[in-house]
Amino acid sequence: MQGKIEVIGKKMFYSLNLKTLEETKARQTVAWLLLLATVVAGIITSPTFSRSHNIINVLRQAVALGLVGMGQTFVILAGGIDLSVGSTISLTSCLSAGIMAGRGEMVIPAILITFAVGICIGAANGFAVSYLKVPPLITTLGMMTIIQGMTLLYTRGPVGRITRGYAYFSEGYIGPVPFPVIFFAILFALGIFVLSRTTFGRHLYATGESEDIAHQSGIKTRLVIFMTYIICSLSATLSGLFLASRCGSGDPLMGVGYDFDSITVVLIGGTTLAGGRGGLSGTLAAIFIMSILNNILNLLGVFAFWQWIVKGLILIIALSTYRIKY
Amino acid sequence: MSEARKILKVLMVALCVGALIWQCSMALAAEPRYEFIEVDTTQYKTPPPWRIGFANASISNAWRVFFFQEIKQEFARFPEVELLVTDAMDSPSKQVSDVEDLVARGIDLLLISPCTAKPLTPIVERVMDMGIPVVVVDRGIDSDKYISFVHSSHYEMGKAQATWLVEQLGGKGNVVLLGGIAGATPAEERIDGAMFVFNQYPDIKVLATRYCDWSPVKGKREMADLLVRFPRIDGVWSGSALQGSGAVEAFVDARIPVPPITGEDMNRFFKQWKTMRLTAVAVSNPVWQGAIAARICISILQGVPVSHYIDVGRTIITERELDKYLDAEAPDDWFMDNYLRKEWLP
Repeated sequence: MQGKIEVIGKKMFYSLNLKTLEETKARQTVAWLLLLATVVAGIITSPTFSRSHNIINVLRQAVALGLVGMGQTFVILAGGIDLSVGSTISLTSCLSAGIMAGRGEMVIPAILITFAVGICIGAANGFAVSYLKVPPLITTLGMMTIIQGMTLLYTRGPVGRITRGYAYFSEGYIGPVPFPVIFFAILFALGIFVLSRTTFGRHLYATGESEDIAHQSGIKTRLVIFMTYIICSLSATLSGLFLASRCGSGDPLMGVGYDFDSITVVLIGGTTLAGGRGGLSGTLAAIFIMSILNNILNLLGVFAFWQWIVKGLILIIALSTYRIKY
Repeated sequence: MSEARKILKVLMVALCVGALIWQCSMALAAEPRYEFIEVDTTQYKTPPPWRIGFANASISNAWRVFFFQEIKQEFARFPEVELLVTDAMDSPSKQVSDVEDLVARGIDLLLISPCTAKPLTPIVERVMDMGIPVVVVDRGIDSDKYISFVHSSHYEMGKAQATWLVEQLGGKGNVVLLGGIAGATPAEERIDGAMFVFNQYPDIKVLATRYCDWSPVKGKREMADLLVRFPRIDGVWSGSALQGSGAVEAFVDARIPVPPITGEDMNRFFKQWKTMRLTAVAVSNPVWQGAIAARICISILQGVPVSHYIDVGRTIITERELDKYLDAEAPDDWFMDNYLRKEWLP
């Protein structure tokens, strides 16, 4: 009997997956078309935009949001959401720079401690959501304020100093390409591989699509959800480490805005808030849309508040096209 | 044996010298950064037109709005200046990107008002390394690699307010301090300046220091609490008009006459001062430091030498000047110590 349910579950799961695969592809195409439109708009409106110096800037500016957006994609695909990434970035930037304090011998310990803290945050989120069944919105909202409090207890202002070597993480080059961009590209490729080629990836999609069916098909959904929060928290930690390197120090306001920006890129990228549909490729397009948009509006001298309006418009436009199609 | 001793001796001496040098370098690093030295700017002399990039932190409060208007008004006097502005919306990481974008647009000079000191330091140093002169205004950075730093010392502001209060009290009495946000540089520096003055008068007793987050509501609550705790408060030192105006309301509610109180050049405070006939003083953190910074930018591009550090003077407004600064028609949150012409007022 148990076996029979499992077979039925698997059948449902695979049929669902085939349908969602097509949907996902179409949605991601929309995201990439939007990116294309943004790039064309940039080339037309600003002569500076297509200069190599500026393109390198845009790529480097995309890394911080890119890293955290990647983690957020995992969580949302599994049907969750993580609002605590912004404050995680703030905390990890402060911790890493604070512990380092300009001492070369402290670079490795600082990174290790920061990662340990990041994993703890992810584990706490994951445990509360998957095992205690607290809704993700509430869990991570609570976690957000807890981490903010912890950050302000640790420091009330900018803190610490990085070493010259650690600055390589954000400012280094391999040939003509900035090191952080290559680092990000490798990590992103790994993320795509995990989602599309591994059992964990398939289980994650199944869990996001329907936790019950996935569970009945023998997938350890709790573990899958738990893992997504750890992945998300780790990616936020990496963002924090990157921003500490870029700014030379930590700041309790470093992560301001990254929580909602990371959710925005996931949604523009075609992943549904309900989970199970979407993927990293669309998120990548959306990350570049945001980064290029910021760059173009700065190049054109458009006033800052307009940037919020344009971001919101793009989000709504993107999601409305998804709505029309399906 | 003697060989070993010699080596040991040499090692000891080397160690001592090393320690001494290290100590000296530490001492040098600890010296005050702000020096009034002249900077030669001939290498930055550029024929107009000029492209000046202004990386603003934000315009998220009234002070910053006035400050930004002063900068725009000053640059508007020079038709040869093309001003490119970015707004970081108080996010340090966005401000770093903003500066990169400004540099990509090919600017002749960068004017920056940092969100916070430390995180903007590397990018400012990098821009200087590219040969683009940088002027820092309002909040400083964590290095002296810039051409000029223009601000108005919060420490001196706190000192001026405290000095007036001590004079009013004849050098003796109980005072309370109402600060801004705990840990925020302007708030802490103003308190430090005030305490420097109060500490010189043994008969001045500082009863308590409270942080009110630059909020009139919080200022009122903290003051009401202090009024219950202390039977006699002879003077109130308030670092800004925001918590100061709240404190005044607490006295009114408790039906206690308002003692001498300090504040700044905010219209709300002036209105209270006039209607309630307070004994008060206002010391400004001038918004027109933005205009001074703009002038410094022009000087640098003209190749005129400039000062590495400028402390823009505070305006001290006493009862005699009150009517000159008060504007009963203007909104409460306006900063009245400004040089904005009508068309530039927000």
